[in-house]
Amino acid sequence: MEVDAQLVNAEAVISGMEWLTKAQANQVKEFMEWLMTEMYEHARSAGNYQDVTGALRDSLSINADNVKVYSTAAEARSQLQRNQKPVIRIERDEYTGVLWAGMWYAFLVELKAGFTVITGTVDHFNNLIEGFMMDKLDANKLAYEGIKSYKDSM
Amino acid sequence: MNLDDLYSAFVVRMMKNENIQSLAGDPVNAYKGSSRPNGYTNPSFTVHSPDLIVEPDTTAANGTIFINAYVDNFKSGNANTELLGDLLKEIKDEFNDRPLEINGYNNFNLAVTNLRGPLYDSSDPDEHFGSVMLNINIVKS
Repeated sequence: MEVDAQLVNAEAVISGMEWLTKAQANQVKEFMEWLMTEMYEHARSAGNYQDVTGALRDSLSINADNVKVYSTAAEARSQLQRNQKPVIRIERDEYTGVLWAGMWYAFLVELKAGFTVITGTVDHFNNLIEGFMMDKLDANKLAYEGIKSYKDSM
Repeated sequence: MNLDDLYSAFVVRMMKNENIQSLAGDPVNAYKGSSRPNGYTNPSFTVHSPDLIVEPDTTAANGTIFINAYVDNFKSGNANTELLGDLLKEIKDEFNDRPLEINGYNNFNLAVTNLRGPLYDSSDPDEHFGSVMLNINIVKS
């Protein structure tokens, strides 16, 4: 058996797909910027540590191009405006957002003293991130619904 | 859920692990919460969660657990990475994909996501520590 197939008006179809792809890419970037801004605000308000000088909160960054370690509050504050701006790293079809705590002692506050600096925020947004990303991919949505049903049945 | 039950499950599993016992001594100095008691001796361990998120309208909770291992420095002052590395590996092997048994709860996911160390805190200059980060999902059964 033989099947002949012909793509009618191919150029228009392809250019339409390019537009669609670009539109989707912009949507992902916009979503990522919104998400990182929300995570930044959450991390600033939800951090349960005592921030006497305010340095740790002011050292938070969502700017993937400005990930730095600070030794003083003044250093952190000098970058506050840049760090509040969500900058997403885009490589091919990978979109990377960064939530970063820049004071040198940030890891001690979280790992040793037991307070949440950024990990709690990541956990808090995890479901949202999973939901959004899996809604975009129908194949994974099944797995997501499966997990949800499993949780509901418990 | 009662967080003490959760931390107890981690501590008991570490104290019963023969590989950890042979590396760190028996009884294993494992403590619930981020602080160790006065007069502790190393190797020592702490278990804490910075945040456990309770999902609205469900009995599900998910979040991050940190298990820290503390090891005395060599006499020369540098980190004993040999012992620390072995301890972090044993903790990872004990808990990665091996859920906890907690009465009344189903721990349907427990996964190691990160190993960190050796880390240094100048307020405890004679030791280094490493940290095992785990993702945990739990529901009431």
